[in-house]
Amino acid sequence: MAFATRLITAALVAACGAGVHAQTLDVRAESGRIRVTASKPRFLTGASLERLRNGATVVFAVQVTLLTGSKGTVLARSAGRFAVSFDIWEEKFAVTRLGEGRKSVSHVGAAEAEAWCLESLSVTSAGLSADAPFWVRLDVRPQTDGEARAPNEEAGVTLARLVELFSRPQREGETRVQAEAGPLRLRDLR
Amino acid sequence: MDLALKVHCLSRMNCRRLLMTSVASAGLLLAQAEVNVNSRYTVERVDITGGSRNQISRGLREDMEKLVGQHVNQETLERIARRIRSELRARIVSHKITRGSEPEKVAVLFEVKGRRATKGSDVAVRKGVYHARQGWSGVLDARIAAGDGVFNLGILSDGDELIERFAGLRAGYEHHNVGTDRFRVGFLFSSFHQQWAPQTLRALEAAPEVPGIYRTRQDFAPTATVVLAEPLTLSMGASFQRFQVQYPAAHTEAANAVTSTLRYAQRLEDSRGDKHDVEAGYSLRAATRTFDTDYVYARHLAKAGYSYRRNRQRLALGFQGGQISGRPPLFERFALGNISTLRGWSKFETAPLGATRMALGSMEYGYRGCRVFYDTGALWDKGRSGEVRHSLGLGYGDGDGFFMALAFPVRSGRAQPIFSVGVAAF
Repeated sequence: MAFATRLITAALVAACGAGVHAQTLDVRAESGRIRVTASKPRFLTGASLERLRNGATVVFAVQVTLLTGSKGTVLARSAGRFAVSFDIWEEKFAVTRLGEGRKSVSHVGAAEAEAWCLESLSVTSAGLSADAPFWVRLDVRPQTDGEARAPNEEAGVTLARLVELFSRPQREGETRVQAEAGPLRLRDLR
Repeated sequence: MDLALKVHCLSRMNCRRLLMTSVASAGLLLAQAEVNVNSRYTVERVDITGGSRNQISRGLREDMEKLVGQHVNQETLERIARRIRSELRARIVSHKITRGSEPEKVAVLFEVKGRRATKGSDVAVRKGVYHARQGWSGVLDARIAAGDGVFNLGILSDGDELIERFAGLRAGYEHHNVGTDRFRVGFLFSSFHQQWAPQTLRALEAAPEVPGIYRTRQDFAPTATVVLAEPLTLSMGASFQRFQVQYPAAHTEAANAVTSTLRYAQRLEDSRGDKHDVEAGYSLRAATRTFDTDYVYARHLAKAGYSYRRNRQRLALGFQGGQISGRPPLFERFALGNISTLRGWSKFETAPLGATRMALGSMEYGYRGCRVFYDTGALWDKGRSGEVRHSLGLGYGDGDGFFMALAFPVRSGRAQPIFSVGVAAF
């Protein structure tokens, strides 16, 4: 292969509370960036999937964070909002990344839709030494009606706003997907 | 390169840049229009479960109906779901899009869950009007809602509706859901004191066949209403009225009647978005000896109305016709010449005692809030001919009940206009 890739499957942190789906995470490094991949649907499930199948748009706030430890300092972060909808007639998903550099994909399955979201959220590995251990965390939070009332609203998509969203305590009944992998080393990922 | 060629090239470049900018802008707008992939499908029908269309406001019903034929719009659906939630006091209202009967078509279903018992109260001026010949009339109503029931309490002084001025209290209760939300029952109790215009008193002296005036009047009216087939409703009930007649000696008389009203109101919208409102109603009040009444009569009243609205223009046509057989008390007799009928005339000029036959037509054209209108009508008693009267006027109305009008009677000689202003639901 043109780039060295090695998939590592790591165990996960314990669930933080009810509604948190602790899952495994696949991580790879390529072209100076670290990417997270999904082999099976992680957040297009449960109540969110039901809403999608009812024809609604569900906006997911997705964040990938590079950390020095499981509870360590944040080294790098990438976040975005994705408006997902499900075609009632064709039974395929469509995803639009909201904010600047808006992109979209349609006619895809659940796994492909998730993979597309994660693919666009790579974090730089610059400044990370080959042997230094690090952790990768994935946070996915479906936004409530109030938070995602206007999925077309571009001005609201800022990193600061997303960080604030992920920092706030989990609300009752909120389904949040969180997965973590580590300790990892760049050398092992190449 | 000569100057002409340079200008030509610059123009072409500018045009191309302009075109590219326009295309980019259009693309951006298109991209922002809707992120839901189902927005390309057309809504073929809209349904509601867990609640009834009868319980939501007419405006909201209309907005739901407007969805049909439109492309799916997530924001619009969410906005309507929030309005349904608010009006039906539900915990959750979600919307579901399902496949329609043919490709590219979808059905929208609003699911209402966890309706809360209705609580709350409001006080509102249902009517507050001034008429240059009749003076002031006002109705103040208080509503207290509890569960599926609503208690009403009102005070009023009305010199507009009937040939008498009646002032007093009314209290009632209505239960909106008797097994089904298509069936409701209620009652209304009213107690009034009367005042009579000198014209009426003078006219009575010359018309011994017309029943006399009374000083007080009480009415107890239980009703049951059933939604036959939306938007057609039928109300049936009774009205037990007792009133204290003053002449020749003070005594109490009764006019007990069965009542029924059939009502139809529908708004249609054509392919151009023009609105057509159709309203029709028929009511009957029949007092028979079975109900131990002092007056035996049958009062029929039919109403029909049509209005056409296009952008800011509105054309409305209305018709009313009524007939009373037998010998009705004064409050049942028809009157024309007030804030809504035969505007420009005073009811004490047209028929100070009212009449047992009535026909009325009206036509109104409005642009924004400004209106011009024409009314024509006649009152007469059986065996007599009535004079057909006409009036013309202009005014302003904001559509929420506020109105102001200056109306002129059409007649030979001096035509004195009548000014009226106020808030009322016609």
